[in-house]
Amino acid sequence: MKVALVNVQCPFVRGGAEILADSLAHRIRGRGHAVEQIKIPFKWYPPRSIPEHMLACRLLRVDAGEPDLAIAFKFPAYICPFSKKRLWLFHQFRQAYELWGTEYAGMQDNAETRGIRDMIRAADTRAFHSAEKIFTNSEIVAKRLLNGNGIEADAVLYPPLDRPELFGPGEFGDYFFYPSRIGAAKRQLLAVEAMAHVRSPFRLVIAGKPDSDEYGRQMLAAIERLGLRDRVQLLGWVTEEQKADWMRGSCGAIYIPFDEDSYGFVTLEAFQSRKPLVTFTDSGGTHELVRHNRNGLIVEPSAAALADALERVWADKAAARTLGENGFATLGELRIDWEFILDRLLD
Amino acid sequence: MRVLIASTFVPFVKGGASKIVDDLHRELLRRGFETDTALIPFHSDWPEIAAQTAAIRLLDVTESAGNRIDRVIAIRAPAYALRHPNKVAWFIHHYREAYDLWNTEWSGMPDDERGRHHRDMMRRSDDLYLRECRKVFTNSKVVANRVLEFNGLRPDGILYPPLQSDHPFRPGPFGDYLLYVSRLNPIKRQALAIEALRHTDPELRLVIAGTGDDPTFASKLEARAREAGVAERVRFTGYITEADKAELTAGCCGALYLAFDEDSYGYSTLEAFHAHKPVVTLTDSGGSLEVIRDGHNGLICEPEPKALAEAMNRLWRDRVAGQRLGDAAHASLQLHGIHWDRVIEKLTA
Amino acid sequence: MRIAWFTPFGTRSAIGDYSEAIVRGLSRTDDVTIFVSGAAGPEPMRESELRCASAPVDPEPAFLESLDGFDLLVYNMGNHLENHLPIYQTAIRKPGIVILHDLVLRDFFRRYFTLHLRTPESYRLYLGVAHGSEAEQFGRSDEAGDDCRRLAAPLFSPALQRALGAIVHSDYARRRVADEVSLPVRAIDFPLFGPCEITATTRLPKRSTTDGRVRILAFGMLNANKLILDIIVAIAGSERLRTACRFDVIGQGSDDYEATLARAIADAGLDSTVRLVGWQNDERLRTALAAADIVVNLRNPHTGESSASLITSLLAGVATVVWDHGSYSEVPDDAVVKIRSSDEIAGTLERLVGDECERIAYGERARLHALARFDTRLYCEKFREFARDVLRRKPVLELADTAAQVLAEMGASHEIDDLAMRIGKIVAEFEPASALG
Repeated sequence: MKVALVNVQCPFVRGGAEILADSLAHRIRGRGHAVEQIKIPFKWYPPRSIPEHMLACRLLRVDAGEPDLAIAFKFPAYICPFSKKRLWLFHQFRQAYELWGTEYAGMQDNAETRGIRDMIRAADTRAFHSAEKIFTNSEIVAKRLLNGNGIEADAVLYPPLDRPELFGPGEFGDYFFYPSRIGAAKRQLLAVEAMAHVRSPFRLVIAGKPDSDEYGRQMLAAIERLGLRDRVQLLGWVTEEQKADWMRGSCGAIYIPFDEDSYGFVTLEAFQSRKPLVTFTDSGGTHELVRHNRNGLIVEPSAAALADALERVWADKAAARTLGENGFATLGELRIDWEFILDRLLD
Repeated sequence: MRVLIASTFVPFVKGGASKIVDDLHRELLRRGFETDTALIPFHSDWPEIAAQTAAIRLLDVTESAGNRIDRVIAIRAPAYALRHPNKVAWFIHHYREAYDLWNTEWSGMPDDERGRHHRDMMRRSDDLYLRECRKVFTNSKVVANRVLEFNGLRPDGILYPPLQSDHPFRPGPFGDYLLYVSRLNPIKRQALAIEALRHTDPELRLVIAGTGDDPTFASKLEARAREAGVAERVRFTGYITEADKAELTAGCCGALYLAFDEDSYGYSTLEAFHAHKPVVTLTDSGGSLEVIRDGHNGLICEPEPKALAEAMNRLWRDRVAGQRLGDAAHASLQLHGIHWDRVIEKLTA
Repeated sequence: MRIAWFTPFGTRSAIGDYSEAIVRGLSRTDDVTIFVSGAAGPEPMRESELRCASAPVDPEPAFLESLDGFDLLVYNMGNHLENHLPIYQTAIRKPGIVILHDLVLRDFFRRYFTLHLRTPESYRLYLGVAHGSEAEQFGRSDEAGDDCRRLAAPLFSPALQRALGAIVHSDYARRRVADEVSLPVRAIDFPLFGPCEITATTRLPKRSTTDGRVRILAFGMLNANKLILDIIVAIAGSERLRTACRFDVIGQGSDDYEATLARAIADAGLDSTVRLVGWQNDERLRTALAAADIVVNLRNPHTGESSASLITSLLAGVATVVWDHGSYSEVPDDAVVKIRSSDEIAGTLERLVGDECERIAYGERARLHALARFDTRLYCEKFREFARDVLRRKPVLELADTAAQVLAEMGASHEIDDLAMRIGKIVAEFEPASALG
């Protein structure tokens, strides 16, 4: 079968959606199909660019080369016409929906921009009706689809790790692990500050590169100021294999971003490694997978609360193990695996 | 400098143009340019071209996520329709059905009102959008002449696509076989080489490397060799890896390029040059004649078995002379600027 | 909204009066800049506390680009070349809302092509395209008068060629525009401006006459279609009217026409009954209205416009006689006295002259009707609503423009290939469902 993956391209930018599309392409090839990635350049500003790119998508031919199936992920790529089109919706053009009227809308709220907003919504609804199947990458996107366009998704397909096989169980060591891009949105600083409240002899290991030099400096300064040089370890950027090793040997993982859409790869990495995950009440997407006291801990977004949660995990290894096993089971319950996804997308 | 390579492509089809795009991308990265590639899907039936050209025209690649894109290098038509104040075209080929093949047996476009209209739209788009480019380069003289003739535009230079920098082609001993690396199909005239073997020195061997679009074509050639009584002297390798190809090239006493009226000289010619091997080509081969001079860095002969046999014999019998020709062939690379430093310099100036 | 409001603004301009009233109203919630046309001309401009700039003739790219800073562009169009030339020139380059104060724009375009562009053939071409070859034939003569033909082929569509929407002031005009162009068009009842404002505020105290005659008044620009001549003839032919009424005519016309009227009055021996008063300012007009018992506001043929003078007399609470067609038909039958032929003039006037109660009744109903219907704040509300609806469509229209440009570049012809239609269909599909229908 010839499968076309139709995506949006922001030249020079490589984000989660691109990585996922690459993973998917690789996996689909693994099943013996031919895959081509079709990426359509998209610039959404000034606002009038949006209808222009929508029109371009209607005129472009993703049926060139006669694929048997087209899978699209984002606006406006899913507008491209194709007879057998399925969507794995990563997110819609949020500026036209829940971000409308906020400072993140990217355009002022006036009569004219409402015209554009309404064009987007109408085109979306039309595109959704023309798709054979619509999957989303999370419950929250499915809910927005229902509220915003009155359409029920066929199912949620949670994006798995690119290489889940790298991750696995191991000893419960003497450190908690937080691997992620480092920046204000991920709040590693708060994790550092939490360590100042910790009495028990465990450490915090942070992997990743800071988005800004400034934030990196702030972390180092906090470590110094709080006398945590022996308690907090900064690894910098690590390979996937190294990350898997560190996760394997930890007694738990931390993922405390602010209000994210997605649960993040860290959550999956922790579950795959059967480690409990500690997250915050305001972290957003992690709540789709994490259940407090079942497969992780969800606590108030403060250094003290985080310290307390870590202490609790540390104090009861048996309970921690159970949380970890339940996390692993969650992957199975929610079918967060490539086989399931490929079956649904390709059948 | 942020450079965007823009080209069209037909998904699921192996095409020559995508190699240029990949190589260019790699070479730009090597030289420290921030590079990305935009490949736009393209359906090449004539009634579909205008709508897709309009679509390309609607895309905005002046910036991406707040960062300015400094230069666009447009390759396959009609990627140069993209709006950008700083674009250059590395023009590979026209949609010839709308140009010199119009109203011939090779054109699928009807000579009726609609067909003419689409032809005119294509020509007009090419004329207009090529002129928007700061510079227009072509991949050969043949194509440059066509740009002048069809679009009234004098290109700014010829940039022959080089081999990628880390290619494995290297010199080696001058063995007892001539090598013909190419896709197997009638227009490449492998049959002519087989036929020529009947008239060459009986020790002279021929290696034919490559696969065909038509899987039965290889067996047809093998049958030809048997009929001609030269089957034991011809080796068909079928599909081979780059490494094997480099090995074969390094050990031959000469390479063949026998295609009919091609725009370009073919990558195998280039590979031979890099390996310091002389190339035999035909008077009607087209693009190869731009870089091969008879008796200087290769041999040119009539497209006829006896003439070809004579040329093949020359190389087989006088390996020293062949080496001289081969060294000159290698020097031609520099002479014609067939290296990435020059290509990148021109495309990013 | 930031609004750019293009308008004539001369001290005697009725459209200037209108613009001043509306912009004041809109300025309560929106940020309006008035672009004045004809500022460099001979007519004096009114002074105003409102923000004013100049609308340049032959606008340059820099000026046009500066208009991008506004959310909405509004163009007040009328039939007079000098007053509306820069407005038209900008309107066809920068889409906005066009307000048609005259339905007939033939004189504007005839003079635009012959005097400004010096391409008189273009005028005939435009007529032919808009109204057919018969109309094109008429364009060969330098016409004036023959209003029937003018109303049949008014040539307003070129002014709307790039418009996002059109506003007119009567349902008659709305139907005419909707028949000819596929563009959002709304009819909004006139606001109060100029003399109307004066009569609206307070009831005019009735001034009793000293000589016992019933006062008949006609006012406004003196054109042949105002039928002043017919009224004079009617009075001349009625013994009753000759003695019982006094007919005052306020306003200016061409020298020829005024001479014609004067001669008719003299020939009929009506010098003591009919007076040509000439142009009067608002205050004097107000006084005359206060004294009037009957207003005659006949227009035949009409040229599609709405009558500000009609509203003025309705608000003044004076029984008004009108010709029953065009926008005049849109006033209720009991608020004005409607006639259908000049033969009815004498009889109608005799009736009204003889029945004071009926006159007063009509006058009261006229004022009540006008007060309810013609309201500046209401106008501004409806205007804003229309503007919002129209702006919502602007992105689709801009997309259509962009697509048309690309197609033009490629030399696409919709007659030969369906590419243009295909793209048009897609753009139409993009249009959000709108209240404009």
